[in-house]
Amino acid sequence: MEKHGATERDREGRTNRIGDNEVAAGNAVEKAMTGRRRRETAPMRAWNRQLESAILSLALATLSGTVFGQAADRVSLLNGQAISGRVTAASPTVIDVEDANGETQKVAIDKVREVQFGAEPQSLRSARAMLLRGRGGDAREEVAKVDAEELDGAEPLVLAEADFVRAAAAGRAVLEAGGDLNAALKSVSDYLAKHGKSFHVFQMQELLGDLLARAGKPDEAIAAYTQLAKGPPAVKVRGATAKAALLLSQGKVDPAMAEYEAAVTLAGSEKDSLPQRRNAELGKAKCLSLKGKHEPSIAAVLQLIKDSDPEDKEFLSRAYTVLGGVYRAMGGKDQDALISYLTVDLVYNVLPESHAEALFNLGELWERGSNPERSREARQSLKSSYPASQWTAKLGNGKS
Amino acid sequence: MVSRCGRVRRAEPSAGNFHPLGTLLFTMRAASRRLRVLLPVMLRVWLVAATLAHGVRSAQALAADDGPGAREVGTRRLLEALEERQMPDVALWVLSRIEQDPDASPGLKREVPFRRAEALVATSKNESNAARRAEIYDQATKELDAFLKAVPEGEKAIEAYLQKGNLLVTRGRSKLDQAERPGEDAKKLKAEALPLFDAAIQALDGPDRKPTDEIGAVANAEDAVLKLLRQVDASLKELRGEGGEKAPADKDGKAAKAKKPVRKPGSAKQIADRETQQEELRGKLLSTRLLIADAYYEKARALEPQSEPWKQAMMASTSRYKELYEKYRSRGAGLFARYFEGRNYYELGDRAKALTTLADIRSLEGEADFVPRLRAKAINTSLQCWLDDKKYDGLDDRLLKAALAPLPAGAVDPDLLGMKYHAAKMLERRAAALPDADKAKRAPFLRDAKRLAMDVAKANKDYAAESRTLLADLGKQLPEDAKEAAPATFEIAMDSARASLAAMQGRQAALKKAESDKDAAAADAARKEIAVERKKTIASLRAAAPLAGQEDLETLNQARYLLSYLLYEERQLHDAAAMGEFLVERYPNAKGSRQAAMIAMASWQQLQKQPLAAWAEEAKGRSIRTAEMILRTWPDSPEAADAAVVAIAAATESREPDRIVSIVDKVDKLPPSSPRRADVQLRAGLGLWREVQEKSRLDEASRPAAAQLAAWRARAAKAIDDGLAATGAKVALATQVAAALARCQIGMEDGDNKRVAALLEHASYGPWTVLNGKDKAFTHGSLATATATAALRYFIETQQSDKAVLAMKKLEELAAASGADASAKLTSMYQSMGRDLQSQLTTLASGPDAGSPEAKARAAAILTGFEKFLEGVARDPKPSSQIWVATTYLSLGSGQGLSAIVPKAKADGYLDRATKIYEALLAKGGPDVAKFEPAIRLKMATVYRELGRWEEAQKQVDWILSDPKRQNTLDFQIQAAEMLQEAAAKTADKQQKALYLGQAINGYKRQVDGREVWAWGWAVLSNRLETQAFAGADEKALESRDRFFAARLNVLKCRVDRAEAMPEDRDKELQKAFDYIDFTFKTHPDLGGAATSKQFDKQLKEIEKRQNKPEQRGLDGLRQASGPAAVAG
Repeated sequence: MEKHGATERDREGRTNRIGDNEVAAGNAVEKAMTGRRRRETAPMRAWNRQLESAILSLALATLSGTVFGQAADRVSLLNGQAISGRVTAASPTVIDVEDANGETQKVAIDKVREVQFGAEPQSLRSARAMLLRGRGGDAREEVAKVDAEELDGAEPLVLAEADFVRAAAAGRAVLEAGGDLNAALKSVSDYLAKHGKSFHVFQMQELLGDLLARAGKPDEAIAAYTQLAKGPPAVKVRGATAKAALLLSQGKVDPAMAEYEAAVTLAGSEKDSLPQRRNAELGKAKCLSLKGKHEPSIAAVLQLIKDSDPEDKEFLSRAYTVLGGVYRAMGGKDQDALISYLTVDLVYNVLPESHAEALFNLGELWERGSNPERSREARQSLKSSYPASQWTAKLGNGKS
Repeated sequence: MVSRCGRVRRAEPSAGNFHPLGTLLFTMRAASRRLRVLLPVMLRVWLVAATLAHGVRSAQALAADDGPGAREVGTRRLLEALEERQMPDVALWVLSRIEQDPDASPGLKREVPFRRAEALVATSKNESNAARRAEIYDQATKELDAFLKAVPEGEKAIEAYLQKGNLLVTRGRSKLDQAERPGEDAKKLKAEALPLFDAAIQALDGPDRKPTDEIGAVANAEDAVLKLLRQVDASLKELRGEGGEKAPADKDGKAAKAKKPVRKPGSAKQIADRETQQEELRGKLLSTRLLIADAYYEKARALEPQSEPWKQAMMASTSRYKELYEKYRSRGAGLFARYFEGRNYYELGDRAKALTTLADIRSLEGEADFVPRLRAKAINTSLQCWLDDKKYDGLDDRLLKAALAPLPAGAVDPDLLGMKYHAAKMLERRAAALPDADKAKRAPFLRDAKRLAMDVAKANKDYAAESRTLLADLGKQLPEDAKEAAPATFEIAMDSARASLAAMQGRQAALKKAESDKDAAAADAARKEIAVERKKTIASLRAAAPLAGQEDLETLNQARYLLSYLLYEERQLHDAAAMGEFLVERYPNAKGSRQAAMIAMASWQQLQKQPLAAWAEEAKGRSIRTAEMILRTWPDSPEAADAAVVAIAAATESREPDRIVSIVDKVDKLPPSSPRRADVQLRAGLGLWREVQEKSRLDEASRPAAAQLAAWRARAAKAIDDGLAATGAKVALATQVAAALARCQIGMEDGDNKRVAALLEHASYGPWTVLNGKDKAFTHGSLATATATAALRYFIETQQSDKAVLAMKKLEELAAASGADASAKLTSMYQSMGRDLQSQLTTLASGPDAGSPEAKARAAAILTGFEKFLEGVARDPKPSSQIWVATTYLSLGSGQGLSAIVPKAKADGYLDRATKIYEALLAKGGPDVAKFEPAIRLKMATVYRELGRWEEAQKQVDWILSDPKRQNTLDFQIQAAEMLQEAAAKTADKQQKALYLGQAINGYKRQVDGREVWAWGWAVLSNRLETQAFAGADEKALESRDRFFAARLNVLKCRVDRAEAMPEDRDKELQKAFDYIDFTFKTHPDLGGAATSKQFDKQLKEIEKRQNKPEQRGLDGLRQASGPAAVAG
């Protein structure tokens, strides 16, 4: 049983991701700009800013084909579309985007994947991209590159965004690789205190919950997750799922099951909540197995896999990990468990937490199956790929 | 005479090597790996590209065609990844699940046989056993046939046909390679290979047909490719707008111009796709035809050279290569075809044509890709032509330069080595052919020849032996590796090891010859040389290990296996065992690991013979551990059965019935075909039954629970039943007979008379049958005695009086055959039967049905049967009969724990009857009685003991021990010590008690009727038993061991009781007892196994308690005091 709730939640990997091409484009722009920055002098800075802006716009143009002025903001949606314009206002539930014609469009927060500000420094943008890709440590390093003077005169929304990325990166980094948990908690709490009306508020409440869970404060974590109930439906579902995962990590199977069921009910058939609903259903399946109902659990996971988009690798990574765990729990199903974990390791190795869990189990199962080479290989892969993972730490505790 | 076919050297056969062309079509990785050895490089490059393109496309096509869901996509991706990661075993699990999955799509299910064939072939890579590899190939072929039945056409079908052809060629080739080894039945192997090649050709070769002939049902690779290619061609034409109607002729009848092709709009991508597919299919057609030509060539190898069928096959191969060259002369594959064509001419004896054909290839310029190797092949064959024709000037400077080029790193093509060797030979011949006047010109030729021969000898693969001979002719031997500097790379070190190994093998052949010639001096010299080369090989292998990189793992593990073997040969047993264990623990799936594990086990077995008891014990433990590891790691391998034999023997020796059960449970899972399965089952059953018998005789406190004994007995019975039921199993008859006897004894206890009857008189292994046969192994000795005893009991019980009399006679004969001790022997036999009878009655009294009316009725029936028979026998005045009757009455009357079924009055009656018979015999006297007198007096002593008449009993014992010869009879001494111990127990007077106990421990000497009586006591008894008890692991030694530990335990019991009887010396006596255990533990740490160890522990704790020690740690305390090794043990 895991000690802290955040671990279980990490496995469900609710972080949204951006595509590789976007990061690559961002990195190219960043490279061009950083190289220049080393040589620039104060009188040149204004001119350079204009140049940076131009390059950034060019990069954005290649991404969306929509250029709105020189420094358009861009709201990327979960459905793959994007809205360009100027973000004029934001609340925890809605973002206002003004288009070229001066018309304002209200975008619900649960449909948004990312907001990019035209006037934000490149390092900030890169850091956020890293954050969205689950690389909290890298994001923390990247956002540290943002010079204070780059934010001179920036709009409050951009300043708030910088605060968000700093706090979120600090939090995620600690969750991923350990570190100063109290400092991370303080950063996130400070952000929430300072930007209580931000459109990131629910995301940060969730992160706060994760950190509190990791700190061994489950009640406070539950309280943080409960804040998500004030959000739109998809956010509510996330909150319930997060609570359920925490309860599960505490060994409270029945309450966890109830929370997962509540999450499923909350999600209903709402399209935006579908990914959360599926995660909740996966959690339910895990609970069933923990209650000894392995067969229904397997049936449920297989059905979820069957109904998935073959390219939804993150969900499939989680699903096959759960499936492997159920087979292990059943006993006498080592081959099936190995197949499930190998599917994660060799096919859906996109989620660090699931992949680490799969590698850990592969190490144990191959050992038991008289295949020490493969066992060593899995353990070595776990150690080298995820040195800070709790699963790697478990290796240290065991005989391996 | 060397056949022509044999002169073109083939790649070395190796486990799992696969036909190059077909392999390619399996997997990119597997293909590239194997091709390094077998396939012409250029062809590889060309086919790899085609396969890669196909692989990508077919995966996409599959995904698009069936629109599979996430599960199917995931499964397909997993299968691809498993193939890439070389995990065919897991792929086989996945495939079996797909078959059973009702949700799996029909498309995926259809692919299962094909994929399974792929996986099976991949698993054969690590299979070193040729027979099992052949089984795998058989299974793979069946899977391919199943797939082709369901999917006879299309891209996958093409792959399946090619694969099938490839498999068959590989199997045939393997047989041909085997046929070339000395001592093999070449004719038979070639005959077996022939149908495989025919089947391969059938799977690959289509009938001759014109381009316009329609292709109906597809049944071979060529048709499958052609049919699909035609479809693609037609589709392309349509897309390009070609082949439409011609414009009508003009009115002058002039032929109209063809319409300009008009492409279909939006068809560019489709056209590009079709063109790619067309290119791939053409590639497949070419590879198919190359395979066909190769299959014909291999077929020729299986035929009698120069015979008509041989010529036909060679011509079929040659014409196909020629056709391929003519069609594809500008492509690499065409050039390879050209080389093979030339090679075939050489094989056919047409050297002029061969040289002309090969000239195209010999003259190839450049060093890119495949060119050097292809050129080397051509030069090699050309050199052979020139050598045969004695035209030694064919090797011009350009060719010599190519021959002298250094060997490439990694696997070396046999043709490259052949080129170097034949070039060396050619130079040597050319030098020899020079007239004396040109003597000075010889040196450069010879120098180059030596260099070339040295290259080949060092590579130590093909032509190595010939090169060494050539080097010897050239007057120079290979340099001593040992004198060279430390190797710089793994490869160099391994080369050095290989060279030493080859030299060692050469010396072994010389040794064999010397032995067969009975040339002792040569044999001695060869032995010394073998030892030198072995040491050099070991040194090189040890030097290689730390130089190995990750990519060398496979070779390194083979080196480790080899090292373990050589170390074993070198009698460095600890090192051999360590290396073997390392492999089995760390790389159990590496080639050679299984054999290395066996070496480790054998090493530990050898080490058990060392004189130091603790070390021998350690070796025994390690041997068992290794055996169990083998059982666990390769449960269904032949090695597992061998390991099980060791493990069973060890578990039997260490008296651990639960361990025997655990091993036999594993053995039950071995395939019934496993050669030693039945053997192990029978041995396990015997071991278990022996334990049941021994443990049943322990005193109640030490005896396991009745239910436990019953469970072991049932398991023993099952193991023996299974072992005997295995028809065709190769088990020694002695084991079968012993097991059948044990099963009879179990059956008698269970009242299963029907089974006993069937087994006892079984036609082949029935103990009674063989006892009455002619084989001395069964008509004499302990097995015969045990058989006669059991048979007698059974015949009495079932009231088969005639046979019972026969059994008695057998016993008397067996006793008489033992010589001087005949009387004692006969008594001992009767005693044994009495014990068995007691055991049977004890089981009835204490077993699961104890006390039931049925048990009582059965016991009564047994007793009645015996009484009736005994009284019948008692009418025979012969002393032997009288003794038997009395002894049996004694057994029935003195049996402990029989009160439930033998009432006390009846028991006393039996004892009285026994006393009277014995006394009557002594009173009768005479020479017949005199020879039995010691046995009679011993029995009388026993009866008096049972009746508590100690003085009378003592008189009998003293009479027995007054004879110096009898003093050395263990049974008499044991009786004496037991009697003294029992007398002490029944005596209330402490002084007398202490006296009895002192005598029971240390014995006594006194004069009786002028003769010295010497009773040893338990301490001397145990010392006298010690040497024999630990001299081996045979039945006799084990029996002595039991007695040894029993004697030691009795010393302790007596000592403790004596301490209580002597208050003034209490502490001293207790300390003596403590020291005695400590000493016994230090000299024999296992203390006779778990059961006796437990008794020692209990005794020690009791002593510690009486010594008022705050903590009674028992044996744990001794272990800790002895250090970590003892604790671990």
